[in-house]
Amino acid sequence: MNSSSEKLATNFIKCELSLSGQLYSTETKNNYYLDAVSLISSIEGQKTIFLQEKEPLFFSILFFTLLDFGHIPICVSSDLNQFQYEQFLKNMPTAGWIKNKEFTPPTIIEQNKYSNCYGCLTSGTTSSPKLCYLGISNAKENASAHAKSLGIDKHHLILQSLPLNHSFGLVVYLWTTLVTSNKLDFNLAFLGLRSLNKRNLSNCVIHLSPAQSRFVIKEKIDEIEGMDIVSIGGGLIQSDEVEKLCKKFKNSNVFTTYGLTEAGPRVTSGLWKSGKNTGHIGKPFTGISAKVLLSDNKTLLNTGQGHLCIQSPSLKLNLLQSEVIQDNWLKTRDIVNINPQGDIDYISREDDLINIGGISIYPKDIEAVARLNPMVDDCIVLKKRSDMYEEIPILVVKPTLDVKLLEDYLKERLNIYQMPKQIYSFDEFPQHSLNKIDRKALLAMCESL
Amino acid sequence: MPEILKKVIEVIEDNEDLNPKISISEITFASRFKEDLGFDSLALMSLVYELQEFYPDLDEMVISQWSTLQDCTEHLTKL
Repeated sequence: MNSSSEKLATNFIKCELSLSGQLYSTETKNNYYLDAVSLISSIEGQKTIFLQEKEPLFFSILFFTLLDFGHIPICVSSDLNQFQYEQFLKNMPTAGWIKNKEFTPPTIIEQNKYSNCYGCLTSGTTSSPKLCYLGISNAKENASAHAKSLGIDKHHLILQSLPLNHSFGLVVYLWTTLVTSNKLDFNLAFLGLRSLNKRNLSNCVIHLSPAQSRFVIKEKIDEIEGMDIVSIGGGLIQSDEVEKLCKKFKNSNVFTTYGLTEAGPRVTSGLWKSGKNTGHIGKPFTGISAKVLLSDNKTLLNTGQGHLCIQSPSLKLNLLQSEVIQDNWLKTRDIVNINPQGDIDYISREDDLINIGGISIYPKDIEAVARLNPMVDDCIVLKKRSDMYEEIPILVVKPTLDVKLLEDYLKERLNIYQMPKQIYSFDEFPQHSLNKIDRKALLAMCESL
Repeated sequence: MPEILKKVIEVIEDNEDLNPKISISEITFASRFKEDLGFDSLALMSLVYELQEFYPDLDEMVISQWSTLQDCTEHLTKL
């Protein structure tokens, strides 16, 4: 276990922490810490452990205490359904589980080859989870670089508005608070302008997803004061939408940013100024480099348009050969343009991802679950444009069946973002001459109903 | 159908951002916001904002405690 001065958990609880504006008392913090130590000190050996906890402070303390004791926490959503829970355990029998203050040991004892790290899931539960191991020192470095790029310091109050268990939440809320000693306010519900307006805000920081940004734009409140820094996932929001947000967050510094779990997760940020392009995501932080890979899959350039490639000290520890090119450049699935000044504009994602308000889902994960249903011979997930969420998944299955029954089956097995917004069934799918499904024609068939 | 449930369902039906995954006629006390209606946190917040027109004392943060329509209507009854 770490020495007392290095203990992540005790250093974290020294910070000013609150829940929906109500400060946690020292007694509450200490009691949560003692509960965490009592639970975790009884776990023998170094373990990989799924961490599931709804109370945000207790989640945070458990997370850091697990790291202090040399374990590897893998953070999961507090509201997994039973199917997802079973799939995780099936796919990782070497991992234990902490939930409801109880530890369930793994069914197979095997040392993880990684250490001093934690795990984040990127997507899907239907096959082996796409797990990224992120190093502790790398996370601190990433949090520090991210905070510096936005100008966050110990005087700021960060308002949590996005999930803690995701790689983004862990770095921008937990690791940032640890390295910067800022104040942190946990929230169990999304903070719209209406709820923010009720608080006496000053020196605040908020991170918004593209979907949350659009919600805020639609709110009937013209402007709000007290927010010093607003950061938005910049890749999926239009420039006129950012301008509207700038008007709403009066006197705030609005940043558009970019990141992905595999990269640590934060990568770039840029202070928004009028005239910036849609998709502007700024420059990489100090210590991080970005290039574009041309369509020949070999040429890496400092400027131009192509697949974004990243070199960063915070890349995930379990990089695959297939994910890197040349000298350890992580090749992303994002198409960007880098100008001679090093500014990056996000253009689009590769076609097979569906982006729901900033959250990526893989159609094949949904298809795999649908195919488990005995009624389904074949299926495909298509993406459809949405004003609110950018893109939504629709599921089309073969043959014609009771869509309601299939829907009931899926909702017990998929998370809310994977759940298709519409389900259609047909006896046959239209095909191209090469026997491939004609997606455009199929989408047109759905829309004609 | 109790008045309060009718009111909530009416609000859901009239809000073009909400688009529940089940038909309005199928919504009951037992309907789960997430699993049955397909509402995420943004949709729930939209619902709360609409309900605040009728229940001004309704605090937005309460949505973290709502799993079902019953949770929602029980809370509104106490206001």
